[in-house]
Amino acid sequence: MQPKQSVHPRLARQVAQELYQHMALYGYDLIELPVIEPADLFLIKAGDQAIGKLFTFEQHGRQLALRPEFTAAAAYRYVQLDSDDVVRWQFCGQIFEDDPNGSSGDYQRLSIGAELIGLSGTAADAEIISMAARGFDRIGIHNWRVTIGHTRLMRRILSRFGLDSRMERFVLNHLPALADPHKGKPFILEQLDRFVLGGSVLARSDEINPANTLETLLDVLSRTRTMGGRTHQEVARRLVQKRQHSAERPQIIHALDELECWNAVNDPPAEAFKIMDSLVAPEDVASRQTLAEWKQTVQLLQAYQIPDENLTIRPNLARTWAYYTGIVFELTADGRHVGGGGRYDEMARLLGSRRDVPAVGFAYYADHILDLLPAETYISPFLVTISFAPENALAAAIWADHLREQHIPVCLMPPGQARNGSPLLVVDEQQRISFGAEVFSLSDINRLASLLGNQP
Amino acid sequence: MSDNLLTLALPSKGAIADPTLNFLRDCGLRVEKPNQRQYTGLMPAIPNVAILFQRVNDVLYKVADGTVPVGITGLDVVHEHPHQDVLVIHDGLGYGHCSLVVAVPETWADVDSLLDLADIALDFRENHRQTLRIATKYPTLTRRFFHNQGIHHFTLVNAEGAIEAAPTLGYADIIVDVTQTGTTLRENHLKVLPDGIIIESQACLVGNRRILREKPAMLNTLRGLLEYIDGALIGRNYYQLTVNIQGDDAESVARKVAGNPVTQGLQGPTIAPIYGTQPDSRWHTVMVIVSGKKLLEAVEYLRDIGGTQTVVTPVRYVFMEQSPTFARLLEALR
Repeated sequence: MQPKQSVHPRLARQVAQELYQHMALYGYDLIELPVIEPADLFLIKAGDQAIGKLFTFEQHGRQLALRPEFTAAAAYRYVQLDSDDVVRWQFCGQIFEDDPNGSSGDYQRLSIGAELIGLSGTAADAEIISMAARGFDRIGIHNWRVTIGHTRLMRRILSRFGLDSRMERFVLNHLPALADPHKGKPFILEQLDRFVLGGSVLARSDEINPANTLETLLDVLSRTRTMGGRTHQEVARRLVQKRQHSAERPQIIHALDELECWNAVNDPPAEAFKIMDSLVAPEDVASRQTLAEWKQTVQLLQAYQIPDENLTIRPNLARTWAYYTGIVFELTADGRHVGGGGRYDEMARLLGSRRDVPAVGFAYYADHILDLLPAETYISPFLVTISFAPENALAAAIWADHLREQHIPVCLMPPGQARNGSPLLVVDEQQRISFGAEVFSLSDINRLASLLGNQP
Repeated sequence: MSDNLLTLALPSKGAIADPTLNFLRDCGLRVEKPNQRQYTGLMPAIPNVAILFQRVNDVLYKVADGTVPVGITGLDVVHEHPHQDVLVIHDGLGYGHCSLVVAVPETWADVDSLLDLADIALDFRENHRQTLRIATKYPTLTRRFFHNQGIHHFTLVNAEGAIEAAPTLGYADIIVDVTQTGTTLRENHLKVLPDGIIIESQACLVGNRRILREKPAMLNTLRGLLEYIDGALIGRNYYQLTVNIQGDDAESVARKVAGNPVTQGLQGPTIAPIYGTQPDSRWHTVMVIVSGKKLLEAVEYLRDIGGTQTVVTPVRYVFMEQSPTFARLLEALR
């Protein structure tokens, strides 16, 4: 099976060109990024599902990967620049995903998007979201919608429950399951007991009772040296942490209860913010501040002509909680996901920066977009056919060359194989060419070019 | 070269080299190596089989690239180097058992499972600013296993030789390696995670799918080889019992013997009258094949129905209507 975009490569190129010009209006410059990068670059960022699809290979002892997306590579490029400058980059190119089931054979897709790195705040968030959404108008897709969530707000809500970072991550990753009527809280608690606490809670509590923990701690500390890159203190600290995980179960239940209320929010901005205002405790200043910023972003979107009726606010929108730190959003059209993005301020540090670098970006799922565009959206390019018998090949070549000099696209074809709908010229044995009822000699080239140039 | 000549690659050294020769000998397929320094040998039982000795990994590579059509290697090697032309013809030759396992330092008292290891991997990334380093000779299987377990932040350290020493020497944090008993790991202060068994391996017979499809004469030689192997492997599971039992006639003895599924044999008991010194002795000799696992149960049952003087002999071969492995191979080649 051919990659999807190769079915209509011209359409893909035209869409890419339109989107390039659209993003250039916002000051985004095209950046070229490597197709092959160290695999770690993508492993740091990717969620579990993406990692399963990563193409990796080894070369000279280095683990490399075909890029599955552009964001990590763009952030890495910025880190390497070691600069405080604000950069606006847009990208366009093939990305690669394995197909674990092996059924489609469709391993590469066109990805188009942008990254705004070095700028924090609601203005930057609004710029990226509006640019992404308005791009659809530019290419003729008008029924788009944007769903917006906020990972930082959800983290702030969760922070009230005093969970450690791993338990917090566990809860955030299970927000979709909490909203799923077939799963819900019982499923999440089962997962917690099975995969995080490692067995039944009772059994675990028994195993990690204070006496056992102390005994094991003493055993660890009595050894003269440790192995495998960890210190005695780290091992001991984690033993204590494991005990704490068991103790955190009641807080997790409270947190899930609270998050169920947030999960129910999936509304237009006015209604959603009203509900969320009532959910944030008055004394929770940090969450109130984050919520206010979120509202401000949505207000800015109105200035960018993003109507409220095209917006949905959904605080639990999960796009890889592992590295998004603020706004997250998804773009849909005709019920299909056609893009998404978000803020990822901590990623630069993971890639070796000495500081966090504010960054927000998005990518279009170009193959989905191409599927949505009707084929007639883009007409075939104008092309003239010169039909010639073998004995007239020389004359045909001369005519073709002269017409191309006049900027007329020409292809040569044997008799009877003209393209459908293409103006047809026929070379005769006197080296003349006929177009319809008219016959031209080479000295009439300007008149012929003019006639052809006026063709619809 | 004759069309029906089948070259069989065998491991020349390593843990399964000698056991492979022993296994083939027990199947009645003794391998002759005219010169210890040569890499070729013969199989007198099937003259159309030529033997090529290769290192255990090279056996697989040679089968994969079609240099030889079939070979015996380890399942761990096959899974580590998947190749579309390599077909596992028999995945359980019954020797060379080992497990590919995840082992961590004993001093990691807080790590009892892969869940703990997932936590540690994140710790390394977030607090050590490096990834968990795993020393292994099995990068493909290790990578797939860890990703499937939700552990994504690690670096594979390719190592040969004494991998068990890697955490002590400091060039890796944990290891993934094959083990038979776990003794070497324990001696190196490593512990196997109970849920860290990546695959259970043993010796297996592999073939090149493309070549076997294209060369029916060679496939027919392979059929002979598989007849011996299947016959011997199936035969290992059975004993032949010969027992004397009294009864009015063969039919009544047969009914008694077949009264227990354990002594029903492969098709049923074979019964013959004993022509003893006394007339009307009513003794019959019963011959029946029983499963090795049920041997004592069978003997006791036969005693209960009056059996005596039970003689048990191992079964060298059981040839079914056709070699089951060859039937599966034909199916896979279709």
